[in-house]
Amino acid sequence: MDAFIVHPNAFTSLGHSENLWRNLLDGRCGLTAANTIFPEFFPDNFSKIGAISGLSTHDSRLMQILHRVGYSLIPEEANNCELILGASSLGDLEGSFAGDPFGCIQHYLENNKPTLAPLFNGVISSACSSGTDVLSLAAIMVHQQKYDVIGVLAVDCLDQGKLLQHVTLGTQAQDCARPFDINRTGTSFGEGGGFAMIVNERGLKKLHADQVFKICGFGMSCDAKHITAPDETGETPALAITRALLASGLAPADVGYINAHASGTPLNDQVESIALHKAFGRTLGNIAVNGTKGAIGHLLGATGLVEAILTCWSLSNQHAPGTVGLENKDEALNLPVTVGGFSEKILKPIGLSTTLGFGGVNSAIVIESLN
Amino acid sequence: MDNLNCFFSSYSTPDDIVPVPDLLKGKDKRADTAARIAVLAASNMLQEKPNIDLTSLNVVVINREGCKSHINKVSNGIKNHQPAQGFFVRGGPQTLATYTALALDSHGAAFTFVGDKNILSDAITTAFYLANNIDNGATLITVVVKNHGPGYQANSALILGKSGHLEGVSSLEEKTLHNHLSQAFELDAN
Repeated sequence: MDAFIVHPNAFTSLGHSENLWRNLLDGRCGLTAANTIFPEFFPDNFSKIGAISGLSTHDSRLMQILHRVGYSLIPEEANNCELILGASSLGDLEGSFAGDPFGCIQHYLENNKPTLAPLFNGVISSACSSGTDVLSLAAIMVHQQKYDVIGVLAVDCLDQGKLLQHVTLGTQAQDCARPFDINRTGTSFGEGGGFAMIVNERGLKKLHADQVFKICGFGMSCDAKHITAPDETGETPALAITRALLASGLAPADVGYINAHASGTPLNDQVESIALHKAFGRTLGNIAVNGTKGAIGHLLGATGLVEAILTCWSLSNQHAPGTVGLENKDEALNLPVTVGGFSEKILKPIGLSTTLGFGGVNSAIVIESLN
Repeated sequence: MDNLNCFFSSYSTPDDIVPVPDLLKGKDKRADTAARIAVLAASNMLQEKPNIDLTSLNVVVINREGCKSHINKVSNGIKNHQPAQGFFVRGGPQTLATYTALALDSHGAAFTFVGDKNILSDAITTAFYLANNIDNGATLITVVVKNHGPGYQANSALILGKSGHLEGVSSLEEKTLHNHLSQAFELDAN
């Protein structure tokens, strides 16, 4: 595709920009016990979440995160954008922006980034695949030369109400996210955001980016089986990955790194490992695989973009950070996943990032570092 | 119009009392009203153009509100520490697309653009691309709005992929499609 990523940056509970990357590489964990973030609502809940520190529980968390993201991640070059596309799952569950991330982002931009506000047209909503899909859809539009420069902004927040739903459903871990670990009990939900500019060759000439990443292709699929549980056969997540490789014109052996969705729920990790084996076959053993939710949490509708950005950074640094939280590999999954405390050398400049969301939406994107 | 590869339909309800669509029988039926409308609009569209392979169909929905009534219930429940049953199957705008895919057994892309008529042109661009680039499939694109009365309006189009015509979308096709879908926004109460 004629689509490139420039100025990718992410904001998480483990920091942002260079600081975030160093923390990941050092194997640090940005998770905090839920009862320290929401002491009144969850006084006895010690399970860990990836909450941004210093946010008020009385005001819109999404708006507060947007302020941090806007200040830390959106560069001066964003004024070259011709379109701003958002991605989020639900945003706040309480207050005036409850369930309305579109309205929240619009309000933020109008009051804080007035030159970008008129360019903001909509938010992609595909649950936890939203952040991956906004990249893919922006790639379509620059590839078709409808625009030359698009800004993609994925944000989501974890308020106490959303955590309550996940605790009740059993998707929040009892202790913390342990992706691909034999003792995994769930994920660690979190919050944060990412921003990147998606450009074609023409857009690339307008910008002077130090680092450029090519979007080789993407794939999407829907299980169409269950609204909250993944397809246990792994067939449709594998279909998304296979479509991404096919669209990229690449073979499984061309891929050097996989940033897995790796939520840490027993079922997700099992399904995802089946899907990866189906899509990659024996070549999977030669690929560095990791997951980052044990370090920064599951960033809901922002997770896809943030993890695609971490994929870019891993490829340009040629190192996959260890999977924080993973101590005892679930050998039945037979994945070459990098355990916590170690980083692994990436031997090829092409990576894959995957997301599996509620509703059975599966997304995969293939990225190449051109640096 | 000979090159037109799109088929159109419209669906509306007089009020917000919407039965479970037949296509969801035997499946998860907990769809919120807006998601039910999206499924019913899909069903109506496919009656206009039956006998197409739905396996790789992409489902793209455009909607501004999401499942607002359910979000309100969730917000109220939180005040009393009450989790909302069925929150994750009703709570997000993506359910307008995912319930449609579930109803049709379709394994293409499924996502929702949350926005107003300004997003329409971009949604159409992506819908055409997906139709022509995923398994020679097709894309169902639907705008769902709450109308000026108590009911809903949904305008749909089915875009069939053109083999060997991957990049081209004629301006006539795009304009016709845009006009049809944007008519739903003219009835938008918001």
